[in-house]
Parts: sequence; C-alpha cells; structure tokens
Amino acid sequence: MRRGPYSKSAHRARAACARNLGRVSFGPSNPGATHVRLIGPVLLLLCGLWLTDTLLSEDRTVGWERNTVRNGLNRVHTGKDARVALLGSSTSADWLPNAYLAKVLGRKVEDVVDAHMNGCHQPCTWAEVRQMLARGRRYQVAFFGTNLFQQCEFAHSKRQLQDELLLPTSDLPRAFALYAHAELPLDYLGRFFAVKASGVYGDSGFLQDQWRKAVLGAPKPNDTWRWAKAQGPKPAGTHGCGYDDDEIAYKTAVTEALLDDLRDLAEVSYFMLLPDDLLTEGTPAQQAAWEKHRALHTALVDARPWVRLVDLSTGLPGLPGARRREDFKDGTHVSPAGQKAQQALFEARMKALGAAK
Amino acid sequence: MTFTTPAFLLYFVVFLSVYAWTPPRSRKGVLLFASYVFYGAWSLWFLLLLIGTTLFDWQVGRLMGRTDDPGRRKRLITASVVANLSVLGFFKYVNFFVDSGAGLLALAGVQTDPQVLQIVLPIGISFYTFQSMSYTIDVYRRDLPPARTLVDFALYVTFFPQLVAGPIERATHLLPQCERVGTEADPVRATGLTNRWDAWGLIALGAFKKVVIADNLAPLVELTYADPETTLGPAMWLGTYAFAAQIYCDFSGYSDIAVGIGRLLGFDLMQNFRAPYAADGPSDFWRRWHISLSSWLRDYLYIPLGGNRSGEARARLNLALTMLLGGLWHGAAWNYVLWGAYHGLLLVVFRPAFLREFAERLPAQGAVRVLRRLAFFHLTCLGWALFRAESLSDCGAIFARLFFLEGWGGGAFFDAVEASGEGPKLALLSALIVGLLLVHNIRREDPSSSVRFVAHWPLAVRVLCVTLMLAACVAFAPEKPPPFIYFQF
Repeated sequence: MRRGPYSKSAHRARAACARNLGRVSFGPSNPGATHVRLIGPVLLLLCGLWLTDTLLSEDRTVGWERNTVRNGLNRVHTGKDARVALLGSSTSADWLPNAYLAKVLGRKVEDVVDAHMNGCHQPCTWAEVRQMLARGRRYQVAFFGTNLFQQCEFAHSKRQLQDELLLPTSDLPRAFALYAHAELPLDYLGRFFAVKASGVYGDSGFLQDQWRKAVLGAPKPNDTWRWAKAQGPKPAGTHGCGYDDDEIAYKTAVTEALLDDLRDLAEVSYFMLLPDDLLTEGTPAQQAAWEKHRALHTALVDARPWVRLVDLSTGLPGLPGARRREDFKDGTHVSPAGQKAQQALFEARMKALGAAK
Repeated sequence: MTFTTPAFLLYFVVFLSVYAWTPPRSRKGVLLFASYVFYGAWSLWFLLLLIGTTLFDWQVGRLMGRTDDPGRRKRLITASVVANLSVLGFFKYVNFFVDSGAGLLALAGVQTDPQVLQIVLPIGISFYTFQSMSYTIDVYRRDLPPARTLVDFALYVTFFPQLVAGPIERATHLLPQCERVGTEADPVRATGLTNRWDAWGLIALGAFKKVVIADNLAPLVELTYADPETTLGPAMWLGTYAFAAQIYCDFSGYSDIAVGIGRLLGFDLMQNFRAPYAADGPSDFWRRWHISLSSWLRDYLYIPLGGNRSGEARARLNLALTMLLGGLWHGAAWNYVLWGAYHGLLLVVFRPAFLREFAERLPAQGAVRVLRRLAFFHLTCLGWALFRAESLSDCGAIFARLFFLEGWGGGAFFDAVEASGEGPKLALLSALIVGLLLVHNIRREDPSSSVRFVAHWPLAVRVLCVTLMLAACVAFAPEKPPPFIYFQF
C-alpha cells in the first residue's frame, strides 16, 4: 500500500496511539496469583447466592408463578383415578368447575381433575401434557381452551419457568425447535437457561412485591395514578392479537404440537374457542382477527379427528354465550352473568357433539 | 439482542467461550463474525446494508490512499459523505420530510395525500454511519492512513459492543486497536479474557443502571408523559426529573456495558459520559453528555462550518446549526429538532463575553457554585421535557403543566400523593434524584470512573459488589423491560 500522501505526523500519531494503548492497564500482571486469590471469595459468594436462590425458589409460601404450576401438578398427582382432565389457563377453568363439568358429562366429580394453571397458555399446556404423558397419565376426555389474545406471543420469563418446571428433559430438543418459530428465538432460549441457572429469575415478581411492601408500604392498586393525574387513565383495553404471521407463528406451532400430543393423552379432546368482549365491542380489525382465529383453529381441529371443536365464540339461537362487555370482568375472564351464558352455550354445544348427558 | 436480555447473555457466554479457545491469529476473524451474528440477529437484510456501507467506505479510503490528486480526493470524499447521508436520510428521514411537507402545504391550504413508505429503521444506523463516515473524512484530511486490511476496517465499523448505540468511535482511536487483535500487542494475550475486574465491574454497573434504575423509572415517566394535559404540575416536574435520571442511567448504562465488554476483549473504548449533571453551563454539559457524539459534531460539523474563526455572529450561527442537526440526528421528529434548537439557543445565550465574565467573577466555591449547577440542571431538564414529549402538541401541554403549577394549591398535591399511597415511592424517587446529583457533583466524574477507583479495594469486596449488582438485576428486573432509549436512534 502506498503511504506517500500521509504525513509522518499521521503515522506518528497512530504509532503513539498504539503505544499508549499498550500502557493502558487491562488487568493484573500476574494472573496466576489473582486466580488463587479469586477462588475463595468467588466460591463463597456463589455458594451464598445459590443457597439464597434455592431457599427462595423452594419455599412454598412465596413465588406465585411457581406455585400455580406446583398446585396444578399436585392436583394431577392426587387425582390419579380421574378420567377427565381440564387443561389450560384460568380462562379455560374458572367458569368450568369440576362439579359442573362432571354433571354435564354425566360423571362423578372424582372423575374430573382440574389440571389448569394460571397463565398457562398453549406452550405451558403442551409442556403439561408432555409431563402427564411422562407420568403415564391417560384420560378418556381432555378439555382445553384458548382465547384470541393467547394466540400472540406474550414473552415473559414465567413462560420459560413453566417450561423448565414441566417439560421432561427428553422433550427439551422439541421445545427448543418450537422456540425457533418465536419472534426472538434466542431470547426464549436465553430465558430458559437463565431460569435453569436461577430459580428466582423466572418468578422475581414476588421478590419485588415483598420488597415494595417492606420498603414502600402496601400500594393502592386502583389509586396509584392519583398523585400524577387530575383524572384516572382510560381503562386498558382487552388484550387482543393483531394476528400478523410473525406474532402467531410460535403459538400456532405449539398448538399443533399440543393437539398432536393430546391424541396420546386422551381418547377424545375438546378444544374450546373462548370468547372475549372484542367479539362484539372490538374494532373492525380486532373482529377480523377473531375471524382468522376461528378459521385457523377450525382448520387445525378438522385435520385431527381425535380433537373436537367447542366454539364458544359463536352463539346459537337463544344462546348467545358470553359476548357483552358486562359478561366479562376484564374482557377475557367471565363475570357471574357471563359464566351462566357461557355454561348454557357450552352445554348446548356438548349436546350437539353427543358428549353431554 | 440487547445487552440486558437473556439472549445476549447466551450469545456472550458462547462467544467468550469460543473466543477464549480461538488461536490468536484467528481472533480477528472470530470477532468480526461474532459482530455480524450480533447485528444479523436483528435483520439479515440490514446486515447486508451494514456490509455495503463497510465495503463502500473501505474502497473510498483505499482509493484516496492511492492518489495525491486533490480533485479526485474531493470527489471521493463527496461520494462517501453523500452515500452515507443518503442511506441515513432514506431510512430515517424520508417519511419525516414527506409528512412535514404535507403539513406545511396543509397550512397553506393545499390538501395532499402523502404516500408514506413502510420503512423500518435499521438499528444503530445513525451510529455506524457516523463512525464509518469519520474514517473517510479522516483519511481525506490525512489525519489517518487508510486501514491496512478490509477485516480491520470491517471490525472497526462493526465491533459489536458499540455497534448499535455507540460510543461513536474515531478511526484514529479504534482502528489501531482492531489492527492489533491477535498480535503480540493484544492485551488479551497477556492477561487472558476473564481476569479483568474493572471490565466486569463496568458491565455490572451498566446493567444495574439500566435494569434496576432506568427500567423501574420508566413506568413512572410514562404515567406523567402520557396524555400530559391530565398531569398535575408537580407530577410533571417529578416525571421530568425521573426522566433525567432514566435517560442518563439508560444510555450511560449501555455505554458502561459497551466499554466493559470492550475492555474484556482488550479494547479501550472512549468514555461517553462524565457526570453530565455536574455541568454548570451548556458547553460544559456537552463536554459531559454523549461525548462521542458532541465531539463528532464539533470536529466534523461545527469546525468545518467555520467554528469560531469567522467572528462572533457566525460562531453563534454555527453553534445553533450544529445543535439543530444534532437534534435531528436523534430522531426524525419535530420535538428532537426543538430539543436541538433549545440546546443551540442555550449555547448561543451563554456565549456572550459579558455573560462569561460575569460567570467568572462569581465565586467558584460554595453556595453560588451549587446554585449555578442546580440552575443548569433545571435547564437541562426542560430540554429533556422536549426530548421525551411524544409529539409537538404534547410539548405545549407539558410546558404549560411545568410552569402553571396546577395542583399545588392548598397542599392539593400532597393530598393526591396521600390518596394514591405512592408517597414512599415518590420519596424514594426524590432521594434517587438527589443522590444522582450528589454523585455527579461530589467527584464531577462519571460513576463508571469510580470502577477504577474501587480497584484499590480488597478483591473480595470488589467481587461482592459486582455479584450483588448482577443479583439485583435478576431480582429487580421489571416484568416488561423496555429497550434502550437510544436504540431508536
């Protein structure tokens, strides 16, 4: 390379820069000695942190995300003789109590196990199914429901906590392959390993809550805006899902895996399309997303004869189901009025499928 | 893949393991590949754009190095500047200018229906474009010989710790460091990769600032700045103070992590912050805030415009213009332009000789000094209010709230705080802001420089500090962590 046009001072400046950099202290001159001095405090600290982390993670009085999984698994464990399993999240289960479901199906209450877990979307339900299969559980009937918003990704460390607690080790490669459908697969993978390394990580909400209560006192959840605003903020709208391909790719892939594995878990599975207030109150775009949601799941179920669709998002004559805003507490969880409407529609749908007594 | 996400943690652990076992002569290639993986994780298409920018400026540098013909050199540097600014302009400013043009026409009574293009802004484009452009300008000015190899230059443009949000490095500083990777002069060969507690300290401090402080302040700022017309005056001030703390901890946290990772890999990246809230005037502020950008604007914009060489009036005009473009650099929105203009105005207003003389006559010690810094901190906060506003119309509402203190009368604000049950939280926030001002003003250095200060502490204490800060990041991570503020630029 020609260097002619450049002044000596430019070359001298570069050389000086390199020399100065050489003088910057990047670390001790005798790394061996430091290694020896490091081992003690580092080991001590790591042990202390591990112990604290383990104590907090194993304590059954703290950590609601962890406890909801534990409680669900406990119910599965104690309900060994159950013939009917109710899976999914709170929106699947809180209007469908065991006694009511048993009555609809003409069975004893002991035949039904409530295996739902709060916040347990499709990936968590798939992981629970894999856990049940690994434990040798088999059922005659399984129920699982999904809302529109659950079809979009809601990335959070608690999702990987659920995976970590529920998935048998042999299923991890499948789970990682499913992560590849996510918008940020590396984030999913990273969160999974972070949860593996620290039990507290996936459920740090309880720590923050305890800390807030201890230091800042008990908050007033409905009034926290009052110091800042002359009037309350507009109520947050119901969670929807834009239904862009990227947003739904992961949950769609997981739903397929779940529906496939339900074949091994139960003789027949009922997939419930759960309503929300966007069905009637939503914008045209939200209602269009609902149509896509319905079409996608109808197609998924049609391709699997062992699964039947219980569409609770479409009413029947005289049985509209939960559709009005007052039928919901928060847009997705049904209110007492919504519960009655939803149960009536559920019974009618089950009769039409020949499954209700 | 941002620094405080599990994805980056995973990436970094894998990268460090591979890098540590790579033979020295292959390290440069591995580092470059890792940088491309880091950027490509966002978008492969934008990685191609980055590679295109690199190849173009590398070729321009090479051609300039081969010729003494001033005309040809001028054409080459013009091509480089035009190409870089065109790429930046297309991705960042096309829609802004189309929208603004339509708005102006509408004011004149001409209704148009502008076709807004669906353009996604490549992450870090403002940073790497400026960095790459500074190389060709330095080669043109003969401040720097062209890079020896394409790999060296590509690494200079792409070096992953500072690729997406700076510090914006100069070729005279970073290029020699890229050239020495894997050679005898590479510090990594002498001391290994992990044996640098100052580097780990910076990484932990940066993560702590971002995750524990900035991310937990974000909801509070959001509450006050969303729909500002309904915000109470005192709350607007608190939200503005909180944003001052948030943006500092967010951006300097990123810079700390970048510098820390750089040091871990044997690089000495430039300091980007120097206790900015200890500034006692606008020029002092810009010597302390985002130093890599302000010095870039000084060297490649203000001085070429004539600097202060053509009289006082021209110097003021140059200052105003530089800050206006500096504001526009931050984002394609009028509130950033306004923020730049505001800082330009401060620089112009504080420039007259009589003001300087007056300031110099003031006692440099004691209460006057404290008041001066406190006053300028408030002027900075007013600038942050413009910066944080979500639209130009919000700016008016925010300033109305700041200066017409609705909600103070008769202790109404304190009643509102009582009713919300957020008193202790707001007290903690106030303590945090006061603490930040104290930390900045006591040593007038950035907390990151205290990492070197603590180098004299016993090793066990240093390890304890690093571990506790990282453990706090795990325990106090918010449910939905917001991205780094400067990623949008």
